[in-house]
Amino acid sequence: MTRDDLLRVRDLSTRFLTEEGQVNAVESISITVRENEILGIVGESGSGKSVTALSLIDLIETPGRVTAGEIWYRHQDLADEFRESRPEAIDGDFVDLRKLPAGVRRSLRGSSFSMIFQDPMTSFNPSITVGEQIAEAVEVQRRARANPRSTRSRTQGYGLGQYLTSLVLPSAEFVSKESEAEAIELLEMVGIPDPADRADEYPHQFSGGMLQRAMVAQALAGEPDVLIADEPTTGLDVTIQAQILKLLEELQHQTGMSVVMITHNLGVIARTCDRVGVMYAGEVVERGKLSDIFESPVHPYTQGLLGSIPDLENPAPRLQPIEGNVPDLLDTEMGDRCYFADRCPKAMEECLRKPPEFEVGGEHQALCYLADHEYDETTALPPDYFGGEADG
Amino acid sequence: MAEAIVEVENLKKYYFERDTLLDRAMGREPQSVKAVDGVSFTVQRGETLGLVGESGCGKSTTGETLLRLREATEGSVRFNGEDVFELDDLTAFRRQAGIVFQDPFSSLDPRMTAGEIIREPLDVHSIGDREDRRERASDLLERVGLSAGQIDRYPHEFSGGQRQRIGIARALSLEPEFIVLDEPVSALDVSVQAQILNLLDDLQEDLGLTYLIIAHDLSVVRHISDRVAVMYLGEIVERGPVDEIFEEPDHPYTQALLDSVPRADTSEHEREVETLKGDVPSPRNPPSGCRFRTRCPLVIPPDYIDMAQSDFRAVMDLRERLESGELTPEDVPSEPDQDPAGSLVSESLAGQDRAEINQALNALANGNREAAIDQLRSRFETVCETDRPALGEGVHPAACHLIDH
Repeated sequence: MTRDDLLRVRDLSTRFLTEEGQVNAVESISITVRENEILGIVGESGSGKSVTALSLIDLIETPGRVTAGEIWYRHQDLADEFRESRPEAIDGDFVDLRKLPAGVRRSLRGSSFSMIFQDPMTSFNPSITVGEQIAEAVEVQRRARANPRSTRSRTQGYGLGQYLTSLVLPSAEFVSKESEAEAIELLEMVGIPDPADRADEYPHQFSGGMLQRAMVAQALAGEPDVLIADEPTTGLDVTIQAQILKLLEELQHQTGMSVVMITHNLGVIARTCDRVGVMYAGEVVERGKLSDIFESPVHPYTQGLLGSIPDLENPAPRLQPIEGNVPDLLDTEMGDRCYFADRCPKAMEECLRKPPEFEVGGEHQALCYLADHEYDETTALPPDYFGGEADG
Repeated sequence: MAEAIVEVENLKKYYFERDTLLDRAMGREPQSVKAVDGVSFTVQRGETLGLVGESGCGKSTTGETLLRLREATEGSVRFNGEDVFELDDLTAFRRQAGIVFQDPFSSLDPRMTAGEIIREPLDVHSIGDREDRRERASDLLERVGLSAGQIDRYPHEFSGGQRQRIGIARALSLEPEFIVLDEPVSALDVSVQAQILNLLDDLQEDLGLTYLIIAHDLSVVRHISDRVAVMYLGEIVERGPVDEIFEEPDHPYTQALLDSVPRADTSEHEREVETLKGDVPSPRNPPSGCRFRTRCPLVIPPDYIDMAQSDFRAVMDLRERLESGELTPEDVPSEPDQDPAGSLVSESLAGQDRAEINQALNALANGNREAAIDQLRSRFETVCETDRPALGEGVHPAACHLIDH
C-alpha cells in the first residue's frame, strides 16, 4: 500500500540560547510523515526527540527558537488561501508552515496537530474536573469550526479586563452542553468505563493509565491529522502500557490519522511503528522501515542501541553497551564531525568531517560513511583520540 | 545445595491510616494498607534473586523492610542464621548488607564530594585511619569504572550513569556480602543501563556478592537474575528459576506480565497481545481470595456453570459493582418483564444463569440490594474469591487455584 506524504520536514534546526552558550538541540533534521501511518522517533534522553516534536507544532519557547528549515504540510484549503498572498509558502497542495503567519500556525493546533505528553498527572489541571478539561478542548474546536478565523486572533490575555470578564462569565459557562456531551463520548471512545460519572471526577481520582487515556481523548477533540505522542507510556506499568499502545493503534486505524510516536523504548517502536527515525545528538542518524532499522541497521549507534537492550526471550550472557555518554550539544563543543565518532567503535579519519546522508537502499538512509563503503581499519582513529575519562 | 544467606518468612508490612490519637478518641478503626502481606523467600549465597512486579506491588517495601530500614509489622528475616529483627546492635549487620537506590540524582548528597560519599560508611564504622579511607575510596572509584582523579568532584559534575556508579561504590565500601539493588538502572538510558548491568555482573563474579534485585523491567530481571519472584499486591504469586519463570510461567499474572512487554524485534509488530483489563486494585481493600481475580483472564467458575470466560468476567464485574454500591437501582431498566441481564451483562447468557441474574437485578430495582448480592453469590461464587491460594513449596511454586484444578 502506498501512502501519500502528509508532512515533509526539511533541514529543521532548533537552537536554545542559554547562559552556557548555544545548544543545538535539533540539527538540520529531515523526516516525512505519511498519512495513515505510525512513525517512530527513538533516541536516548537529550537526543532532541521531544524538541523535534515541539518544533513541528510551533511550541518552542524562549530561550529556544526554530532557526532554519521548512515544514511542508499538505492542506488544500490553506494552500488555496495563501496561493496569491504568499506564493513562496506554497508548493502544490503543500504549505510551508514556517512561512505562514503565527496566528494561522496556532489555529492548526488541535485541528491538524495534537500532542499527548509523558506525564499525565502534570499535564492536567488538578483543580478542574477531567470532563470539563476535555469539554474545553472540544469547545475551542467547535468555535473554531463555526468561525475559522477566531482562533487565529491573539489568545485572550491575563489582564484586568480578562479577570473581570471571567468573574461575570465563569468558565463553567464557557463550555456548552454539547461540548460536555461530546467529551463524554470521547472518554467512552478511549475506553474509560462509566464515562458520564468519571467526567465529573478530578485528575487525582484517576489512575495513571486512565489519565493517559483521558489525555488521548483530549488530544482527539479536534480530530487531528497528526497526533504526536511524546513518551506516552513511560512511567506506566507494562500491563497498562500494553493497554495504551493497543488503544493508540486502534484509534489510529479508526480515524486514519498519522501518529508520531516518540520514545526511548525500542520495544514500543517495534510494537507500533511502520517507519522509524533514530535520533542522536539532535540529528536523525538513521531512518527507514521498521525492518531496515531492526534487521539491517547500518549506523553503529543504531547497532549499539539494539545491542545494549537485554533480550526478554533469548538473553545474551553479556550486553554490548555503547561506551561513553551522550554529548551535551553545546555549539562550541560540537565541531564539524560525526557527533557519534567519540563513542563509535568504528571511527575513522573521515569521521572528523561531518557525514552527509547516504542512501542505503529503498527508504533506508543513514548519516554514516559506513553506509557508503566498508570499514577501513588502516584509517581507524586511535582509541584515545578524543581523550576523555572513564565514563558511564 | 547452596546455603541460604537471607531467609524471609511471612514478612508483613502494613501502614495504618486514621491512626492518630484523635481518631482513637473518636473510636475510628485504623485502616491498614497492606503494602507487603506475608511474603516468604530465601536468597542463596552467591545468587541473584529478582523481585519483579508493577508499581505499588510492595517490592521496594520488601527490600527495605528486610534490611530493617523500615520496621516490619510481622514475620522474620534471618541473615546468616541470625534474626535481623531481634538484633540489638545492627552495626555488624549493616556492614554485611548494603543497598543501592533507584534514583542516582536524589540518593547522593549534593554537598559531599564523590570521595566523601564513598568514604562516609567507613567513617561511620571507624574503619582504618583517614589515609586508608581515602585510598579505599579511590580504589573503589576505579573498581566501578570511574577514575581516581574524579574523587574530589561533586555529584552534579557526573552524569546519571556515573552517579549510579558512585552509589554502587558506596554500597561496596564496607565489603558487604549481600546487596539489595532497588531499581538500579530504571533511571538510566539503555546504553548506559547496559554498562551498569555489566558492571554489576563483574562485581558479583569478582567479589562473590549476593544480590536481591528489585525491578519492574522484566528484560533486566531476566538478564541478571538466577531466580525470580513475581509480586502482585503485596504477595508473591510465583517463584522459580529464571528460565522456568520466563519460558513456562504458571501463574496467569506472570503470563500476562510477560505477554505485555514489547519486544525490540520486527516480529513484535504482528504479535497478538492479550492486554489485562483494568488497574491494580487498591492495597487498602484488596480483593478477597486470590488478589488477581479482578483482572485474571482464567477465573475458575463453579463446576455447574458453563459459560464463556468473557461472560463469566462480565458477571464478576457486575457483582463487583453491585457489592461496592456502584450499581444502583436506577442503572437497571425499570420496565417490568424486561431482561436486564442481556443489556447489563451479556447477550449470550442463557438458561438458569440468565434467569438468576434477572431475578437479582429485579430485586435490586425493587430496592432489595442484599437479596441481589446473595442470589448472585450463591450462584456464581468461585473458589478464586473464597480461598486465598497458597504459594506452595518446591523449586517453582505458583499461588493459583488452576494448579490443582
